[in-house]
Amino acid sequence: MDGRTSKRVLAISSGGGHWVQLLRLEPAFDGCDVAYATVSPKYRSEVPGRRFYVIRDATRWNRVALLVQAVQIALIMLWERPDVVVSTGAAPGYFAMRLGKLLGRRTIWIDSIANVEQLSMTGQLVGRYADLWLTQWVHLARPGGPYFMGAVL
Amino acid sequence: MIFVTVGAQMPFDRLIRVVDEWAGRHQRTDVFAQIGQAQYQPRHIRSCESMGPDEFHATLEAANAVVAHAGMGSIISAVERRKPILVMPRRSDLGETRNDHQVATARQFGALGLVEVAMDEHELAAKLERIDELQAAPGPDGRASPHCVMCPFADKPERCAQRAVTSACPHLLSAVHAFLAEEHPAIEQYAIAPAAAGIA
Repeated sequence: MDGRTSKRVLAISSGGGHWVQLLRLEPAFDGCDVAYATVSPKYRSEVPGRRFYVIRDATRWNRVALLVQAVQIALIMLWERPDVVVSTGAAPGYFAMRLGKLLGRRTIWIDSIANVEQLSMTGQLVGRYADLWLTQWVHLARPGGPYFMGAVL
Repeated sequence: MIFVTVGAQMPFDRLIRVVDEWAGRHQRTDVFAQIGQAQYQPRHIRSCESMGPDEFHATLEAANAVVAHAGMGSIISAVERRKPILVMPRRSDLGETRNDHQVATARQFGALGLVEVAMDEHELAAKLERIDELQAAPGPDGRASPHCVMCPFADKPERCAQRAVTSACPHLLSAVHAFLAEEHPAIEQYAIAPAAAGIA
């Protein structure tokens, strides 16, 4: 980093295990200006001093919630103007990767360590939109991506 | 204290019932469970529906052992605090989750020695009998930290000196950091080529 302006990062995921994994990446954001977005206000206390956005929780089985979530993420992206979008999972990460590419941002997808046997469905869908496309299991790595560089655990 | 948790998403009555009955049989008063929006109301153990992160971490800190569903939030939280953890995977055919990824997760992390696994209620009941003897996984080389068991350079110590870390794999962190910093290393320079890892 050049020291003049720090990189703006938007770290985004759904709740539970995806969020816990996103937090484990915090040391990688050293020197960056990071904002977090996730589905529960309860998680705010885990990222003190960071900008924090709450979005609607949604799965692919609830289209209305998905639409609300997508609009919320679009607004956050326009407001935050992140240089890089990072996600460990699920629907919020999918929308953030798609919108990020649409807005010309760089994107990082780190597929959840819970997906041992195959990449998550979302992880497969976002591959073409992720500039850095990672799996946390070496046996799921493929030439051209997803790549393996270690795990959060 | 035994801390039981089923995660933030869905209840897991099948697990709670077994723990509750075990606690009743042994008159255990030192069990606390986070049970979600459950149908089954435990009769022998204290419980709550959900917890914020601060309460969760404080309870985990006070626990001698953890019993949980095979969710990554529970597993990572227990392992990073060196708490022994016994997990039972949710099953999709019983409506406990949407797919069977927890079964694979439990098997894999069990094989790595990071968690103790009960595949069903019978195994859970049997393993609860020895819960007080359960030990947190030893780290690589017998060191204190269990981290980095999946280090891409685990068998190449000359490439990784950081065998005991309290955070994510340092290779993963430095790769993400390098990408953020726009140093633009060719991805092949820091990614592990599948061929090198023995993947066809």
